Amino acid sequence: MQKTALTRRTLLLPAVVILLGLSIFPLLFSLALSFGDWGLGRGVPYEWRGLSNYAALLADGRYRNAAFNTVLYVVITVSVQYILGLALAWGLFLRPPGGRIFRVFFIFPMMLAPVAVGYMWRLMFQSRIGAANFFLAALGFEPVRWLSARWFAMSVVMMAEIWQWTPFMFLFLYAALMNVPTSPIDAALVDGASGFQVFRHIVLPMLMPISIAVIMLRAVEAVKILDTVYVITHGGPGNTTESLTMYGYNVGLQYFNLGYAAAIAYTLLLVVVAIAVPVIIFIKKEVSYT
Amino acid sequence: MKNQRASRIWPVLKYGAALCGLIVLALALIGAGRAEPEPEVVDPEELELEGVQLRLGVETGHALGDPIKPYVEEWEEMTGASVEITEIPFAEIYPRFMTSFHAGTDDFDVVIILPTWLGDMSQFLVPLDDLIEGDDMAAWDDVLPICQDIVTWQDETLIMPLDCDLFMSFYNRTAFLDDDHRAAFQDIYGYELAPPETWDQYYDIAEYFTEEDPDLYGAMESMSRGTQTFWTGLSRMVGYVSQGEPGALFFDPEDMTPLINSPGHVRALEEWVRVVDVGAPDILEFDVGDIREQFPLNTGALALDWASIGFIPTDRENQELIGFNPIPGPTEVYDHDTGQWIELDEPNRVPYMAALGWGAAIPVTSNEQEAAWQLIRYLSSPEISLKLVSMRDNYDPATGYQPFRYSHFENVDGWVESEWDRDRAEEYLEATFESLTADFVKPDLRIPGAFEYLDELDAGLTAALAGEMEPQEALDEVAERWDAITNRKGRDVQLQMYRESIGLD
Repeated sequence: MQKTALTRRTLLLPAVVILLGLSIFPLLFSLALSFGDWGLGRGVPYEWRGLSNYAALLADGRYRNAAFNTVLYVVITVSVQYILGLALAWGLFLRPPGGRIFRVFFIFPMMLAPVAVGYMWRLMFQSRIGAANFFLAALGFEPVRWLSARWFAMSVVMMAEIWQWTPFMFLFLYAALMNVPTSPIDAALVDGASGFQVFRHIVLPMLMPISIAVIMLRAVEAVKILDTVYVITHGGPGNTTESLTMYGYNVGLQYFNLGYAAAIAYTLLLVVVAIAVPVIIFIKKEVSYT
Repeated sequence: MKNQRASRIWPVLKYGAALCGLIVLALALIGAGRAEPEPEVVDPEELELEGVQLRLGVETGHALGDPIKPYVEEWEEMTGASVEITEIPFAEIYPRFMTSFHAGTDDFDVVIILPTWLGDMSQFLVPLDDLIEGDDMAAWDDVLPICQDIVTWQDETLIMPLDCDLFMSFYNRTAFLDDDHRAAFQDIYGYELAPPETWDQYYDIAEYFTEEDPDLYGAMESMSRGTQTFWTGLSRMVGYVSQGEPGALFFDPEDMTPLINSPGHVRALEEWVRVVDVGAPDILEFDVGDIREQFPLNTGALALDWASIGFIPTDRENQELIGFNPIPGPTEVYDHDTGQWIELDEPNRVPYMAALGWGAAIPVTSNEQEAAWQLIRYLSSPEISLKLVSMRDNYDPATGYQPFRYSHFENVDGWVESEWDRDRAEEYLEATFESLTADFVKPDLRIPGAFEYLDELDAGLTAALAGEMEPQEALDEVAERWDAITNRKGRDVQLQMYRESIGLD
């Protein structure tokens, strides 16, 4: 019995070592870094600074702006992605003609690299040669400075994000819909319920666990938004469209202020944990098909 | 007992002393050898570099990556070495090199960088002084003094110049010579249509062409975030705050207080914001690449850029289109000491060395430093660099390399050989030479953290240009962030570096 346990632990050892090396060590190292500063490669030793990096964050207007933008990106894009994903999934669930082809088309955007998506949307909304202003002009509207005004630029970034990641929502919700038990639906229809009532009172509650899971997954991913912002606006004009990860990237890998960048990253981690933990608890305790 | 111990210790001391003597002698010989280097002048064709592979990092595209490729290939054929070129977009090139330097990884043997980054990069680069000294191919005495100064950091030459940058203004000569436009402009503004000498004239001309000529945009300038907009901004600001004295553009040289939000800087930005309405309709999305592609197509009346677009068209035809003009200036300059505006008789046209000029350096991590130097001296040599700066084998719309050697300015025949019209070449070279040798030419920022300071300025300028912030508010915020950077990096250290970089210490 003891020998078996030892063998088991021995076999687990490589995985544990890899986990410690690739995941736990960087996590702890960056935590330590966030409480100090380190002149990587310059022969400057690690210097403990206590909570000064975190204190500086509170007084940093650029950080607050980036955090606010990130909240907007997450709340708006994930909400719209969910609504559109659900609508598309419900539409295909009703088996329209050509549904199989649409099912394939709908997931194409998700397969593209975010940088490529960023360039595509930037080109579409370029003021002089972009398709958006071309169509606006055809309809008799004045051209819009899409990329050089804060709210327009943010809306272009959000549209790109929504276009790319709605398929993610669609895919999961459609799969869940296909597995919804049909007997309650049939019973409701026999009792005279309308299509909307069936959707609202039967299907939607049954989709709740998967809905919460995909919203959480997308929210966690959306908090890390970088590529599309970088390519479409570069955070501009000014820093008005900068996200938290982009600010962290600039501070860490452009200004090489590693301690402060680590502090930014840890605040981001706290936000992600704050989103994820209650949702996981909720899913485990409250929601079930039965 | 005492004697016994002494007898045991003596041989150790004796041999130890002899060994120390030998070491001292060896070090002295090495030191003596270093003190009088024997310059080695080797023709590339005689080099035995077969099998050597170099890795060269350079900015991507028309301006910098493409123009050097023909000469790198030429060198490869002559020496038998091979060079792997890594091209990196401008916004990524500083972090890419710095990440490699900080991590101590041997990623590059040659890096083509800007001297404005020397404050951060100096410790990671090989000093070139011993290699340069007496090297006929490097021909150091042929390099203009200002172009030598900018590549020197704390008495060490760390970069071999391939370029010496100067911001210029350009005008559409065809439009300016058009009789109808000349008459109409005279009627409206009451003075002759000519290359602008003041920023007010620049605005008038841009406004005129925007309103009167549907085929021409009034002005083209870089105004978007992350595309070197801060250099356009500083080129505009310099005349408002400096008549050439050191330390008037960035910081107070006494205590590193940022001057960037002074009334002079703010007025320059206010004037610049007005240009948005008389520029190309998408001017807020412009970077220098857009200017270089569009202006030579006869689509703009005025432009600001490095000398890159003042160069010859790709087909070598219609060289008269682009007119070349030193940067305009204001007629008043702000005096930081008295806090007063000083009226001037002549426009204050201060040449600004935005970015200072690209050059080649060798990272200390390179294992092929000797071969790397051989490549660098070849590219920078008078013969090859003349081809580089005159676009001899370059049919792209622009080049990022501008003349930096006396021989570039003296050898007009060399430019004609590169298919320049002689008059155009002479006009261009004369104006550039005058600016680079002027007493009041203003170099760019060169202290640790220069990239961060300038990036913060970029944010402030683009926010004001886009109307997201008022100019004063935007520059106040930049000043606040500059102060924070200075405090983080150490005010005393930064002050010392700044004073050294502007020649005060």
